[in-house]
Amino acid sequence: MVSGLMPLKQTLERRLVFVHGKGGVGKTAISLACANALAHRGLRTIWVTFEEPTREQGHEMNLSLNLYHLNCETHRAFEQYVDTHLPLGAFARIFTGNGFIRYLVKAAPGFRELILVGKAWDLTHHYDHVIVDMPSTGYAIAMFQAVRNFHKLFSGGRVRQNTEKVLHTFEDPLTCAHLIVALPEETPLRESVDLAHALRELFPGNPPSYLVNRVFPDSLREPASLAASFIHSRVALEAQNLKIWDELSISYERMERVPDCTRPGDSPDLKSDSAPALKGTNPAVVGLLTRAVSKLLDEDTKQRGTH
Amino acid sequence: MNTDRILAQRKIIVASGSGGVGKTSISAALALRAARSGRRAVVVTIDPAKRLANALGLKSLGSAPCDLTDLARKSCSLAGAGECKGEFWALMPDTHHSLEELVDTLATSRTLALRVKDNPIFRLLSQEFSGANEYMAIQRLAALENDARFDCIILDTPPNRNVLAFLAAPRILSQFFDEKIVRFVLSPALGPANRLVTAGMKKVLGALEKLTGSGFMTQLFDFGAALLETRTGFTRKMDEMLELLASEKLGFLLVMTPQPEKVDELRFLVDHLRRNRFHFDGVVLNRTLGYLGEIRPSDSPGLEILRCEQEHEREVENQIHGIQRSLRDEEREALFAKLPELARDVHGMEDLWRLALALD
Repeated sequence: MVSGLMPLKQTLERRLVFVHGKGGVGKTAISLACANALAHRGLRTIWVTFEEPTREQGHEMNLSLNLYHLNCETHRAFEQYVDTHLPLGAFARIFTGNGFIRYLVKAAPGFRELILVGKAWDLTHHYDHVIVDMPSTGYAIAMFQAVRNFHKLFSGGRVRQNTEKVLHTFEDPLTCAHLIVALPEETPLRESVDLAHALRELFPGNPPSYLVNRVFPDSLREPASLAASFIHSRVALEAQNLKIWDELSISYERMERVPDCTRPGDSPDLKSDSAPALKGTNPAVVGLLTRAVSKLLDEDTKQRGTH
Repeated sequence: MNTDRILAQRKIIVASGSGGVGKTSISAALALRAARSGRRAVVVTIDPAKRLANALGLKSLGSAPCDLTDLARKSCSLAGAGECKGEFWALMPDTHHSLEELVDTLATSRTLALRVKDNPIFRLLSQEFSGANEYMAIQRLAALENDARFDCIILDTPPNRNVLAFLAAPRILSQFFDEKIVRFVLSPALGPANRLVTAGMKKVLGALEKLTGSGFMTQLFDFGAALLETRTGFTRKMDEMLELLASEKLGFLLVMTPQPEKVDELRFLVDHLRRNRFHFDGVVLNRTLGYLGEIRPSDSPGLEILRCEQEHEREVENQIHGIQRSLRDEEREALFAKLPELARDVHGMEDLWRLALALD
């Protein structure tokens, strides 16, 4: 296993970044914080999610000065694809609205995935940075696998030409990065090794980079209490768990677990780095993560060793 | 309402919730709990990441139900859970087997089954990671429901999309036999001169061919035509599944972690289940820290993290109670079980038994 030697700063220099990982590791918060940090630096950035049921779908929304969000929706993305790639004119809406076509898009496994991931790719032509909050492990692989499958299945036609370009981009380390996020817990760390393996098989020329989120800060001064002993065991457990990656010489960025509620006397700007308020996200956490990401982006890469 | 009462009332429990909340372990723990009260329980997980085997402390698990009763009984007394009178089975189906099984049960002849299975579209669908997980989950549930060996089924839903995709699967599959869709699928067989093949249809198919190429179209129509021959069996099976999902036999449990931003997910799910007349049985709140006792504001970052998370937890708990109170028109009360976040990992059966006992 070759290690991921790429610091987050270099990962985020790529135009298209897929944020991967097991469910619950904080992909949403990390990807939004990365997008937010890039936007704060004056780069036109779009944060992409796929059919998140609790948020509005299908429209590119402006969240703040340079930050945009698209909660990608299959049918609308398909309409847009047809408009761009098939000269159908007035017939386009009849085609995409046709019952049979709609059914195919909705029911055929893989179609939806192909359309959604294709849309994320297409956005790279309109933004400086596209940060994608991927679904969890197996399903993220299914999305890329769908592109591969249809590339094989569609003997000719437009989609084949496009999937070729899409696959080329996903494998190109100059344009695209795959960032794997994990928690300092056994299952996510192990599962991310499998995920890295699957990604390498799909895109051998573009190895992923790694980040471990919510690392409990080592604070040994607590007086004895139930909470303090929890902290001590937790810190020891995490150090033990992270050996799973260390032993594979995986190098990674670390994000600390942070207190994300207001303390009496806290100034409000300490709480968040102007993170957008969006359903399903916690602006306080995203704000703190944005600040951590910004700090990494400001560092001089050359002076900084890897872990 | 406690866990045992829910388990006694339902034959099937569907565990839903976003990834990483502990759904797989909790599903296994529910099945153990049912086994303890004498049920013949089976836990099934639709998960390409092979997590159920790990949770059970096993190297691997097959596509067919595996009898783990002996293991469960031994670990039961070791974990101080008393006697386990029932049975405990587990399986982790793979896409390939499940979809082939589906074709075999539906196809009216061997030739037809082979024709479907040889189709390149089917071969791609039946790979792992093809996106056919929801269909596979439905197939597994139907197969287990008819399996006389089991009287309690715990289904850990596919982690990748939300439970809605799973619930929508039978209806989407049935829609294939809708007249409008069928006419398209049959159009090549009818021939271009047939008056049933309208100019509009030809135009739509022409545009599709421009996108996908003619090779795929041929395979698609062949696949579609073969599926059409299974119509009667297929439609019946999907109707049965829809009926099962809404029946008293089946209930849904949501597993979640105490983050305030996740409460919308609960609200969304409860609304959806209600609208479809599915049965919502309650919430398991996992990774809670309330048991650590009151923590005062301090300068220690570690303690501050725990204090904040406890604060969120109380807020989430209040909101869950609010949502559950609004459901009280039914005579039963929904389950609310809290499980602690421990500073250690869950490993093997004994830990699962502890989890099973804590589920109240």
